[in-house]
Amino acid sequence: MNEVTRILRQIESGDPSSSDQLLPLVYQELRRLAASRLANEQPGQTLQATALVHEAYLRLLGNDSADQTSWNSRGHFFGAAAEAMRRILIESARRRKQFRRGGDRIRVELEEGAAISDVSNELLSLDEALAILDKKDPLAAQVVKLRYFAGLKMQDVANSLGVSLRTAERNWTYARTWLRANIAED
Amino acid sequence: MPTPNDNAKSIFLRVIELEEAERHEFVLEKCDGDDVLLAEVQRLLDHHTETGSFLDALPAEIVGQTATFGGSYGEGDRIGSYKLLQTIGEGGMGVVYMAEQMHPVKRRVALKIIKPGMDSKQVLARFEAERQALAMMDHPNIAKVFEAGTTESGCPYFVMELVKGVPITGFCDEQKLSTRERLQLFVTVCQAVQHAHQKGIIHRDLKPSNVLIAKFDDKPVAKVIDFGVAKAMNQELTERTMFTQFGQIVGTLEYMSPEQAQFNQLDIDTRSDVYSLGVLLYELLVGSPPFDRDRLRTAALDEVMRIIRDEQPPKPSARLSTLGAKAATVSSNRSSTNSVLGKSIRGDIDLIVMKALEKDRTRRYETASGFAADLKRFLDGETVHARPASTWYRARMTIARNRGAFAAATVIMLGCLIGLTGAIVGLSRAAAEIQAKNQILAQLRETMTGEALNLALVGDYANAIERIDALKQTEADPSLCLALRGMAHLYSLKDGHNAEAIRLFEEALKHDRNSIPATTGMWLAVDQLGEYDKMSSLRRRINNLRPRANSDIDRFFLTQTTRHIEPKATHEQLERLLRKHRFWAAAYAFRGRTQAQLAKLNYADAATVVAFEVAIDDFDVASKLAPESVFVASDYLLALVEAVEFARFHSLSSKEAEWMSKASQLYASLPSTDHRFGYAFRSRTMYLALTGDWAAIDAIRSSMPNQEKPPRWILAAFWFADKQYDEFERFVDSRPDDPTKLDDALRAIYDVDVTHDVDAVASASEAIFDSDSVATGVDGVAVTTHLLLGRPDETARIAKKLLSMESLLDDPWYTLILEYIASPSDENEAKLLRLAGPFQYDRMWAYFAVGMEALANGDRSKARACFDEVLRTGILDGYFVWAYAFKRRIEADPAWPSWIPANKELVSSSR
Repeated sequence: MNEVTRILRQIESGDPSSSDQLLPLVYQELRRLAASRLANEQPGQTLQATALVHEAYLRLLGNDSADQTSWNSRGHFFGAAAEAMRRILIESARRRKQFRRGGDRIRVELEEGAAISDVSNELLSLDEALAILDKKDPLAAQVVKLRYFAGLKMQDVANSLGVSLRTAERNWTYARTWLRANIAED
Repeated sequence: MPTPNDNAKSIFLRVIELEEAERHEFVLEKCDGDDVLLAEVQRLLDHHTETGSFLDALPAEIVGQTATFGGSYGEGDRIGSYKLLQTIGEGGMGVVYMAEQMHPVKRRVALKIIKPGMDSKQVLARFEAERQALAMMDHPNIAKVFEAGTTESGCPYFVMELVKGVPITGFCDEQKLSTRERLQLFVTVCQAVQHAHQKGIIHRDLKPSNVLIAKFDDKPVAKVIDFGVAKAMNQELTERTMFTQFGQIVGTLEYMSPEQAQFNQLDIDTRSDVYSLGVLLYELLVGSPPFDRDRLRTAALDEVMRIIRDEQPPKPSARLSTLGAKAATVSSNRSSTNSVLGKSIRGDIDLIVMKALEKDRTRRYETASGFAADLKRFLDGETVHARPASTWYRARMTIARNRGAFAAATVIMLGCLIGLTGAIVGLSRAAAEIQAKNQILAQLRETMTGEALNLALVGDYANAIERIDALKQTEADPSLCLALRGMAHLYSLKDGHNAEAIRLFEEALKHDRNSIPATTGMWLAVDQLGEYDKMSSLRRRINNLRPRANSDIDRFFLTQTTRHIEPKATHEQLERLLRKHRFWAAAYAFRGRTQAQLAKLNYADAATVVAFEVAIDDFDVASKLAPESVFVASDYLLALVEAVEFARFHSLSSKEAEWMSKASQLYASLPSTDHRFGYAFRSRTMYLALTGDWAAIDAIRSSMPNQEKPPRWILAAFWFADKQYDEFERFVDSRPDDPTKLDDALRAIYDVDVTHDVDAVASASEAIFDSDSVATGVDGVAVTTHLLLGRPDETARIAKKLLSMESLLDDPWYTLILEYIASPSDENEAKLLRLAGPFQYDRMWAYFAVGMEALANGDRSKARACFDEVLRTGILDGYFVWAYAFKRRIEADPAWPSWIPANKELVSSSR
């Protein structure tokens, strides 16, 4: 049994402190995957969050994956992956903003045009709004993280959170609208 | 007690399920005079309508796009001789502008700028390759592609005939064309595609957005656009696209043929376009492509590929009946009703579409015109040629799929079938069927061999073996299977992998003494073991082998033995192979290596930076196709080190930083087990020297004698440095006679050190070079170390003799060194050092030769300075260790080597 599987088992057997060990592991793996994919690309390559998360899942859980892991554990995993992916994307958006300010001459040349930082800004203000939503309505925020950052299908979001598909969908509708409303005000 | 937020949420969620008219009252009632709550709910409702696709796109795609448009262009901008007028379309791969061409003619064109991420140089090269054929296309239904170029920010662009039209699916729906009208329009599309096929152009990316309809004199006219673009962009499935361009290719995937939807593709031919046309017709008829769009968009890529390859799509008429509510819209868009539309499609049209969509391309319409002809037959009320799969076909596919189990049965079945069909249609038909079966087998073999080889080179032993076992079932050449097995072992890094590989290669050679895979595999194995003595005879045999007709596998194996010594010819060969086999990871790595070698020759020109970029690009692809391969990584590291050296030389600091960071990442990912490989020693220590990490180099150097099977050339040098003569004697005694005289060459170094009897050693040593079995590895080094005897003039004579012999190796550096030793003038010395340029590896060779020449002439201080330069390169290779050994000896005893008088007069008198 590998380390991630072990942690997932511990979480399931009711040891909440194990959750803290999961995030760094998942984060590290995703970061490594993302970095190796992105670093070797020329600027402008897209990177598929869903593919990354699923690859990380297979890598980290290996042969212990699909068959032996309960949905509950997979929920924990995808929760950690969504959070990790969010951090990675936000970091990347922040970096991009720095480049705009002249942190990297070459990048600025390559990435001229305001549209670029607009998208980064969008992602950053989404994240700020998401943090507020998380305080008010953690379930709705969690749906956004799983759906948007980890790229899970709605049924998988529901399974991960242990709620019905309808509840997941309703929360998604609400969260989207709430975020839209609160970002629009900025 | 619910908080206002909870309240707002639940009220909001309930309101949006109500009819518009009921909403206002419901909200007022629920908020019950709470103005704050009312405002919050109202605010949510206001924004609800505008959420649209908000957050639908995955963030990763946003991240990509943020960096995507290298310079975003706007109206009025100029690209080449074109002035951009307005944006007319935007797709996954790029943006299309209407533009005005200034000269040579003033005309309006469509200019498509490809998003960055493509290698512009390769895109343009591929476009150029097809340019002539493209120019030959002249058809009213084909939009011409005029030219391709690169924008200032490095994105490729294509200039083509401006078509003011809309995608065919949208047009047909808008105009509510009937099925019959759709078929008529579609037939003209087939004819256009046929025209291109006759000129040798395959579209590769036929989809609605590439088939535009414009009205001329009120008649709809189809124009197929983007011919040559997909090919130039090499827009096919690789591991690379899987992670980087997934979002962009999904739209294309729906129209992709099964043979395109796999990583190791068979070569694409015109029948792939026939398939895409089939998908297009399917969608024109029933409003949806054969596979559910939502399903494809949410599935993982490998699942999408599996669906396209394996899943039998429903017939168009069946698909129509599963569309549910959507069917009514589809029917009304066709000026029809569900039942009438269903009836009109059922039967012949179903058959025709499904024939175009056959998974096995040999079962499809042979040509686009054949497809069109059958549609015309239908329109004219004649009998169509599309027919359900025959019994024979099913039997044949079963045999092909289950080769092993059916091996014996096949013979019997074939016998029966030959008898049967022979009785009915005559023997010639049966012979044709057998030929068809053989063709299928040959194709299977080719694909599986490529896959097996790739897996072997990646070090994926288990899967490689599985593939090889499958390959055996296709009646593949047993020597090929054995050789592939050997390759899998060779690259598996398992214990004893070399020995097992050699055993397998030997067995393969028993089956076929002239097997190129086995002979070259053997050569690689002994190279890795450092058994240079066996290499020369293998090399001679390889030089005499010729690839079997049409065997790309043979050609590819041959490049493995020529890539270091004939970079240019090998490079060209690899170009040819990669044009056909786009997923041969090792071929990319080899091409990257040869490209870097060629670039090095031009190092003085800063523009060569492009050549290095191309080389690095190749390695990028190779390492993506084979991310776990130590071998690819090791050569990649070597190329990166050389690129950094080049960038430093020209003060290209940003390039230096870019390549250096890649090199660091790669270095960190190299497993420590690769110590067993000569190449990896070299690459690793080169990288460490680049970063100035001498402690790490020392650690590797001191651990070298303890490595499993280090090359004896290296061991001998370490022993020599410490005067461990006994170790050397024991080692030589334990070995059988060495036909290549490498041991003799080493012995000369030891003997002169022990006996100081230069004359005796010289006559023995010179005999080495009389032998015609001199191995390349031996004379290359032995001539240089022969200078240790202190007889530069005699050594020069030997070098001249070797130069006049037909060289076993055509390595330009080897020749250069020999030329210098043959004529060690100041001028030649300068030339040698100049050619070495900033590259440590070449400097190592050059300075060692110059140092040995100085030593032979009694100039110990110059020799030491040169050996220092060699050591400064840090590269653990043959010359480095001898420079290390000789320097150690000079340091221990300033008069060493005592048999060479230490004075300058001798230098001038001996010349």
